[in-house]
Amino acid sequence: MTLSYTLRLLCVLTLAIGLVLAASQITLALAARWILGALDATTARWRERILYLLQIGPALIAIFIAGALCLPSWLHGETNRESESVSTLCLLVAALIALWFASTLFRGLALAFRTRRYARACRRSGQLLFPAGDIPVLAVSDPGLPVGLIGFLRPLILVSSGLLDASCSIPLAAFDLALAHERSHARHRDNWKLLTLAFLPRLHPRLPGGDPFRQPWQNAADWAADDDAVRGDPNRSFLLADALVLAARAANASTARATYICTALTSAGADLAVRVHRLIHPQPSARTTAPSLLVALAAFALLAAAALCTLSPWIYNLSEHLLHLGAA
Amino acid sequence: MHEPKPQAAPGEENGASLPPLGVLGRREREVLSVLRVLGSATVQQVVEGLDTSLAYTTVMTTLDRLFRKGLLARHKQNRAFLYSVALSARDLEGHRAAHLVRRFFSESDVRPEILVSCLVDAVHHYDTDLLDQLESSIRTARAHSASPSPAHPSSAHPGSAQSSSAPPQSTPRKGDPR
Repeated sequence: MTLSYTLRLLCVLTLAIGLVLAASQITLALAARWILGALDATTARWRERILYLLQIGPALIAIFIAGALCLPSWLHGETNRESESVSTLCLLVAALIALWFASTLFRGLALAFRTRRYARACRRSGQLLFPAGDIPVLAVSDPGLPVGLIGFLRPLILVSSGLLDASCSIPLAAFDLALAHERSHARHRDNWKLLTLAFLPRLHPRLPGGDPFRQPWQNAADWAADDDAVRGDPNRSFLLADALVLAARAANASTARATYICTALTSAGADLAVRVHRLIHPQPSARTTAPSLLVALAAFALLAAAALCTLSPWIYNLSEHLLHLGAA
Repeated sequence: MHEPKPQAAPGEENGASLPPLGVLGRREREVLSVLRVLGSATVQQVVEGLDTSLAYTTVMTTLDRLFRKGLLARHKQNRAFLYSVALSARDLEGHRAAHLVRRFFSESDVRPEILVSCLVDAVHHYDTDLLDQLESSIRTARAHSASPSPAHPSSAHPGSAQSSSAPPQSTPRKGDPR
């Protein structure tokens, strides 16, 4: 099939981004066990930050390689401005990658739209418990979570009416701690991070490379928010542990399920028992080895970039090979 | 005059006297949720209650389909049908879950206990025994910890005391906004 100059360029960029993204996700997944083990020694906040970086890292690398290496080398190296034949295999792979990106974009947009609509509905119908100024706290009938943060530009803390019922009887101090936990999520823009992750194309979880850091990141974000909320005070730790168990009971009583982006006090898949154990048996402060780990990762990234730059003269040839992949 | 619910299709099991509810369409779900809010309504009232604008005949067809599926009851009022939900939200979800579970187990070659374990992870319902155990652990750890500072009343309930570890707040009970 023959393609114009612009379409060939688009095809090369799509292939470059898709293939580098998939390759770097698989590479990171293969190293996931080692990375997670190395992060055990760090504080929850550093763990959360690094795990988030590792999730968005492959996409950043892919965009960097496509934008900073492939694009200039193509613009400089391709002299044929006329239409040129491209192999069917190359087109097929490019189409699959484009489909992968489009489905992710569509899913992300749908999720963002649903979240915005639900946040608006809550603003209209929710009952304001604490005034605006900081972050408004609204009581909502069965939002699908006991306590959670929703929204991006103007976040809200939603509290299930069930949690405030007399039958649940959550102590005020425990409730304060639950709110402090959510405020910590808001301060560290965890909802924004969830939104960016929703727009990141990821390999299917069952494939090698599919999402090994997502759940550990969510757990780390919850642990970090717990640590921020309790501020090293054992009494506050016990109160937050109380709040977690009460929230889990309220979640059991709920029939709804949150289908929007939110950071819940007790989120699906998170290990509640581990969190409670962390709170009631605080460990000695973790050695903050994260900066050294970050330096190691940055050094590795720089070395990789330098290696790629030395390859730059061949990148155009590589692009040409990709375009005629499988052709006789 | 209530019309009887349609009979179950031949060959269906007793627990599945309803049709495959797992395949309810988006429009059907929207109509059901409007009817849940309104209680009972005519076609015109459902049309007005929907977020998206749909033709009268489309809504009428959807309502009729839901009635035939046994999810709605209807009776004639004057010259129009008044529709109401035949199943509570919980019953409906129960039937859907039963349908889903039957399909889940019949369409997989994996051992049932593995499937059950996946299901338990997926539904995110905390085990009550585990929660009791966690509560007991918290009580024990609290008792073993250093004597708590009086500044942090651990048993203060909303409205009965203030937590000094957080900004002073009044009770977060419903109906008591600040």
